[in-house]
Amino acid sequence: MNKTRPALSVVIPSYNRSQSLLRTLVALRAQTLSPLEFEVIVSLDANSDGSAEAVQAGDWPFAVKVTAPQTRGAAAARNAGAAIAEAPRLVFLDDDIFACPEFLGAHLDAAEANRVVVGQSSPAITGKDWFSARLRIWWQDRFHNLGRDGHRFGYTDVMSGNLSLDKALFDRVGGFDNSLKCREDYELGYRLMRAGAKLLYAPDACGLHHDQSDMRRNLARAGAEGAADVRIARKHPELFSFKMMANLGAPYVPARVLRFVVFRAPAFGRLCQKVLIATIPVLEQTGLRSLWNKSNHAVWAYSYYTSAARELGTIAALKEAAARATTRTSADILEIDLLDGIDKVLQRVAAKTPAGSTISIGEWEIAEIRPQPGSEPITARHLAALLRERLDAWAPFATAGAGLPELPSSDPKCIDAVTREGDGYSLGVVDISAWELTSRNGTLNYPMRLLIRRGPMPLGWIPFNEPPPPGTFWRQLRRQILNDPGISLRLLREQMLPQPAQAASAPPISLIICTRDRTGNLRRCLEAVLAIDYADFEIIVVDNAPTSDATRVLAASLTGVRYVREDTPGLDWARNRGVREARHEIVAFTDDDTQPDRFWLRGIAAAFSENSISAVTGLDLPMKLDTAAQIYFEDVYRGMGKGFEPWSHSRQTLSDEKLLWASAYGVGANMAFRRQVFTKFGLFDPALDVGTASRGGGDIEMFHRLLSSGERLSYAPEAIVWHEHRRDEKALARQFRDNGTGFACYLLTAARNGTLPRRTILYFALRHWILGWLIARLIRPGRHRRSFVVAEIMGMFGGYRAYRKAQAVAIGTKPLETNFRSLDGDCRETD
Amino acid sequence: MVTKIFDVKLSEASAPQAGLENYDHALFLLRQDGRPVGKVTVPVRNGAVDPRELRRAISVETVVAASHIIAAGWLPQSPPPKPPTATAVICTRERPDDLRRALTSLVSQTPQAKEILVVDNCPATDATRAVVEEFTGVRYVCEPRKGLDNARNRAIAESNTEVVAFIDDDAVADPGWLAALVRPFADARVHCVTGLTMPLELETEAQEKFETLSGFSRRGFVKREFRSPPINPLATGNIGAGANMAMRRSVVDSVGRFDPALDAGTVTQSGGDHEFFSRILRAGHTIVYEPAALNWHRHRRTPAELRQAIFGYGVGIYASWTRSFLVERDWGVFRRALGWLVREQIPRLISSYFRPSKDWPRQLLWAELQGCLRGPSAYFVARRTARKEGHE
Repeated sequence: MNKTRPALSVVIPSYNRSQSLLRTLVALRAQTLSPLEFEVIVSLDANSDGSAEAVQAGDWPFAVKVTAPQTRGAAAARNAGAAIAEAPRLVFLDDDIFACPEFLGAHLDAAEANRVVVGQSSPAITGKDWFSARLRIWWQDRFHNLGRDGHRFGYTDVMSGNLSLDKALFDRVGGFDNSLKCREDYELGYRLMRAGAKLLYAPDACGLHHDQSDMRRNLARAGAEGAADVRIARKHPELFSFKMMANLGAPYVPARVLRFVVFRAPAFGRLCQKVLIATIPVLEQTGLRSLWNKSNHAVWAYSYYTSAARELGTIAALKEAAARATTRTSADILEIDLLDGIDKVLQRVAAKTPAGSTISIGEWEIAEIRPQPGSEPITARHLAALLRERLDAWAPFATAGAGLPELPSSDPKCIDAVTREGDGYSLGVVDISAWELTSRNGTLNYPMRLLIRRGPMPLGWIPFNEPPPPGTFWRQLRRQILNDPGISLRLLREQMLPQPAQAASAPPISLIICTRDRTGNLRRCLEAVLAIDYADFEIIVVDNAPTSDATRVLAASLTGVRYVREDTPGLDWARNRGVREARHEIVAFTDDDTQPDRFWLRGIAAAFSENSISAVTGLDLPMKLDTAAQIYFEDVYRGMGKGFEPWSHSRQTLSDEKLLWASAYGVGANMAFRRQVFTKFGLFDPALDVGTASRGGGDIEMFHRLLSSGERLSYAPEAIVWHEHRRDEKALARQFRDNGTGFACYLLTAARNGTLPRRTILYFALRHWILGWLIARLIRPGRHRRSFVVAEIMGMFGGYRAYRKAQAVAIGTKPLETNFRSLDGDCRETD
Repeated sequence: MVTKIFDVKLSEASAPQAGLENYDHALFLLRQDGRPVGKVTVPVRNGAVDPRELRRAISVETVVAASHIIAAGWLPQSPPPKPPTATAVICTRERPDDLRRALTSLVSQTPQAKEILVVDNCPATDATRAVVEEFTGVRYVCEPRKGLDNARNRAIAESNTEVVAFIDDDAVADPGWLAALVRPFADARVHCVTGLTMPLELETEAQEKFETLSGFSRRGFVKREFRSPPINPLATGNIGAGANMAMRRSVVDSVGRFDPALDAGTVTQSGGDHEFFSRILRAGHTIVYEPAALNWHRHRRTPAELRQAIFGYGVGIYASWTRSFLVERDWGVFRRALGWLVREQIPRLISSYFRPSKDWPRQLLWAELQGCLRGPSAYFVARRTARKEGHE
């Protein structure tokens, strides 16, 4: 034979399988690598079927050595083969793997001093039964994962059936552990990884694995694996927790029960297992897949546990092993924040190659790569692969974050370092399109709440309870914005879907403020109104049955404010008066205890640019959150705002129930209508709302009337009005009481107007309003306060009387009927 | 009730659309970087779609899907594996006008298919051949045995590429259709890929109804993988359809050919594709649904055709289950049939009497049920025919 030293030594352990062994050798004949380049060492673990003679009788183009070690076991056979290898590099090949022609060439091409090459050896499983199908899938996945870009190699990827490495490296780590009957490759792999070897998967080094496993053989193997894992854990305690024993559990049985059975009553367990094994074919026949899967796993797991338990001996030994495994020192874990930018993150990982890593967006952890003994350190490739797989966890938020402008370098000036005293929050607004923080009222101090908006569009509230470390304010804020899924998804939407180009002309708007003897409030409101950024609008102050001259004087002192007096007491009288006085086609309403936002009318106009919309409501936000009552109203009662998402409704999209919950569509402090709807569907019902016995309901009755007549109403969150909630609890209780009365009166008015059949309204009132809203909160208040709920219920009880009384007054005041239809003509006259 | 269809970029979805006086609704397919990320239907008012209403209607899922595409672009790209070679196949029968449109879309694919094959199934006239001759580089094959599955088998036998992609003759492929449909085959476990089918036109009420009932585009805009376990091989309804699918040619070695007793052209009328998917799953292979592989399907235009199609689906489902029971010995079909009947068909039928639904009119429900009853016997008849033809 040749005299030169071969490049590869192929070590084939064999156990009485001469036929298979010969076919393996025949496959090596057809290698593209020259037969002079490699030698074959057959290491016979047992030789009672004449394997040795059969091999030696063959005429092989390559050098063949046969050895028969004394020690039993595949590990010993491989060690013995490796010991007599002449080549600098070893290839381990099993006797049932038939190599493809490129097999050895591929192993040689990939050879490097510190590199362990794992080849592909997919088994040829042809069976059509479920067990074969599952095994096939398992193997397919295994090799697919190895070949995946960014796979993090670990010691369990070392499979000795098709493996090559330097003989020097093999000797340095000490070869296979002869005492193991099974999983000796993993154990070797662990030592190799610890020695700093690099793993490489070479799919071209492929062989066809003729492993005809069936369920019985699989169970036997599970048993061997259980015992081997315990032995490996004795040698390397840190590996224990990564084995099945650590999270002992199987389908059907809780872990404790299983542990008891495995250690104390193995005979009973075996019986159960036998019964289960007998039922598995039946499950397959009847097509019960998930049961089959569970049973199969249970049977497998039980075999594994019992032999592991036998190896361990007692429960105490199990616990001790688990305890030893958990005392591992925590390795270096790199914390990664994706907000730093993907490029920077990948660079950092590439520079550090940590053992483990947590990946987060701001405070929000989205993934974790655990440090695993015997696994590669993490590289940028691993991280990129993980991120590619977990796009759903980070992509929307990172995309939203990427669209934000650069953060300012210094903290905002307008925050007072002194913490607030007492209840309450100071309120601020942050425009994130320029990172501009403005205070709602006076100085800002902690705790505070910041309204996040992008240009005019509000996105949500961010609470800030404590001052962040100096210099990190903006970073903290960005972090919190992106950690709030609601805000960040709305932000994403704003960025991805640009606002439609508005109609160039802003339609003129009549803005109506109804007031009564609250000059202080009105002044504040008018100041905000005069600061509104809108081209063409008129301001009409309707003074409702005033007791003094103060309002008129105030209005006269301000330019551009029209003063109108309505002597009949009642908010709806005042509103109707405003409508009659209005000159423009769009009529917007607010109350005197509000401060409209600068962009309010722009938001209203934008919503009306949709031609089919006849009414618009906007977002009401708290002007102040100073007292417990205001916080309760805003946080528990959900304030007046209807959320940050725009919507529109019409009769077709609404069920009867939704149609009757008109309080969900907006409030009178922030609403606007096309003036023609008053001509078509009548004015506000003068028997409703503040100033009459009904104390409310005028606004929602209008929404309900319009929607049930087929009109469309839309909600524009960018139309913001800041509303001052009641400061003290007594006033708040009174407001809840008024709400109860007002809602009852609204329902009675709806019943009278016949917008829906009366029994529908009655059913709604009993089932949804009284039972589902009032009584339900009385029984289970949650964060609601019972006394407030009681106030609302009391108001509800007073509803009918109030309705009658208000009706009588309304009819008495005006000789005409107050039914809205009769007001039609009245209105047309003013046109 | 007719719907106008638009194909727009997500970032341009707020551009106003006018001149839609003849339509009630507008359906928008939304794309990010050329890939479909969502769809949205909005009412047409006064002949126009209001951009604000359209913008409101776009779901957050769509925006999130678009963000996935943007964020994936930030990650270092691994070199794309060489895509397998592919043949694009149209199985057709006497629909020259539709075929011409489909072929036009196929010859302008980027990158080009290695071969385009038209299988003319049991032709009565020469029209198909004439259309094929209008195009250069399109091969014409005639399959005399009637039945779509015969044509499909013929296509697989005639092709010599790794992947065979099928598109219906009444569909139009998006320019990137083939490339997207072939890409998932880089994973060796994947043996079949299906794509997203959107309606080409919704100009009649029957077409709109077909769109809601067949749910071609209901499969969503997220790539999904199907494999058994955990997917039940009989649950192939939401995997895809024969109008937009591709398979490895070698899959016939492990699961066998399409069953010539199933699908259009035989008395079983449909089900050949779903039955084939179910065999692929049963063999442990993976099927991928890839929404980027987009084509547009012209649905049946008249109510009579619609009723016939729904009846045909009923027949096809039960016929393919019959086969699964007879050949694959899968007893699960009984559970499935019973589950469908008890949980969906009967409740729907009952509620159609008390609360008639626009989506499921009563006569269509009955048509489907009648189809189901006809299914098993239809399978036997078709099988006998197929065997007879096979011997000839």
